[in-house]
Amino acid sequence: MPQPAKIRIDLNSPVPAYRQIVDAIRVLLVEGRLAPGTALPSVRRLAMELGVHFNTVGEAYRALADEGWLDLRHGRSAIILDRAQRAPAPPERLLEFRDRLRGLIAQMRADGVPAARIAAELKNITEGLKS
Amino acid sequence: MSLNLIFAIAMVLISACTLALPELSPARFLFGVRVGARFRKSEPARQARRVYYAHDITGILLTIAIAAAAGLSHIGIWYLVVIVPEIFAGIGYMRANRSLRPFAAPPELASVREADLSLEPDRLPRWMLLALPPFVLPVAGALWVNAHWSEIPARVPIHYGPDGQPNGWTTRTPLHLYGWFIFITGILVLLLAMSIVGYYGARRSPGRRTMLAMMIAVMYPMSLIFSSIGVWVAHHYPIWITLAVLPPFIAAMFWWNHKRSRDPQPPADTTPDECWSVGDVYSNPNDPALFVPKRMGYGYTINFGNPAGKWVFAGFFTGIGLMVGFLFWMHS
Repeated sequence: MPQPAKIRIDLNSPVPAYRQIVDAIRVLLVEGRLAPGTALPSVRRLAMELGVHFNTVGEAYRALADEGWLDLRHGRSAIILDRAQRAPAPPERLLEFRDRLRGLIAQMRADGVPAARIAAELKNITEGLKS
Repeated sequence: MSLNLIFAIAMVLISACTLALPELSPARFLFGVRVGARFRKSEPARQARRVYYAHDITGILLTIAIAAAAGLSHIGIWYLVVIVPEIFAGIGYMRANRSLRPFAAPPELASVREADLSLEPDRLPRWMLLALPPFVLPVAGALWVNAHWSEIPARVPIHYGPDGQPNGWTTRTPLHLYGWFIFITGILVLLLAMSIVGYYGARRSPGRRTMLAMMIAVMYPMSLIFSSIGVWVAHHYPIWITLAVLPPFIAAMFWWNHKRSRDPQPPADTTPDECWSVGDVYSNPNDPALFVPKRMGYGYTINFGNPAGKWVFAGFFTGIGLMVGFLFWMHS
């Protein structure tokens, strides 16, 4: 039975709500739990379900469209695109990702998560994201 | 049917509605305040109930005393019967709410929100078609009146005293004979529109479907009673036969509500406590939902912080006002 494609955000998180929505939907897209051609809920419906402003969801959808994940034509639902494999990210983008990862891992270590556990989590996540 | 019996039935129904109120709210709320699972058995909870029941019972006894003193044949008494117990219960509810606020439990992850993106598009359930049969009754009633037009007396009653006896008459005109059918059709249209707006304006949850089902259920006795009145104007018959549907209907709605409020795994409540006021009024400009479940336990309520919510509220009550105005105009 396929897993439900659920997203979860925390309004008390320091990460802006729109960024949390983008990140959560991107995970579902990369994991293949949202198939190309299917429609996402309307901005209004998703905003209502999450209890956030319409603009927050609209901004998240536009960010995903800019990344090539969504087709946002006026008057239509947001349709998931069959996104072709992109060329590998340039070195400077990789450096940026590495910095973000280092920051996150440092935070996990500071919160007492053992290094072996972090490595295992990273491996699991990487396996899950192979699409 | 004697006035005393009608009064007794009305008082039993109103008393049952108001006295059962604290037990109809979801288990995690008491008088609109978020409480812990075992709080209902605590001393502050018992004290809040005592405050509420004291007000409620005072209102009921006061109504009975006024009715006994002034007599049931006075029409104003029947307005008091409906208004006084509700006012006292409302004051009791607000006082109980205030007394419980210091004991409010912390919000249950109200900041965490979840949405399922894989669900089917939001559509009305198929059983929504059950909202159509209530429209058949006024149409059937109007057709019956049309078929028996020549048998209807030239002078028909348009106003009745509390004893059910006519005290106002008019000549036989289409307005007076079809007016009740037009009235109830208008009310049904309003209820149907409100049901649909409520369904699409609320977050997905089992409670949303229950709200829709209850709205549709309410359409049935309303259609039956008002269509019966329409037929009764043209042809008198024992109208208590149709009015008798009310007590079992109200009892069934209570049972339904009580069952739903005792759901062991209710969906998370994401409405902030500070957005609720006067017991059960919700206003949150940051929440795009038009309707949210009431903490009192009776269905859903409008989010007054949402501009569209204010328009829906104004539109519904303007519609009701227009239909009631139509009745007054018809009888003028």
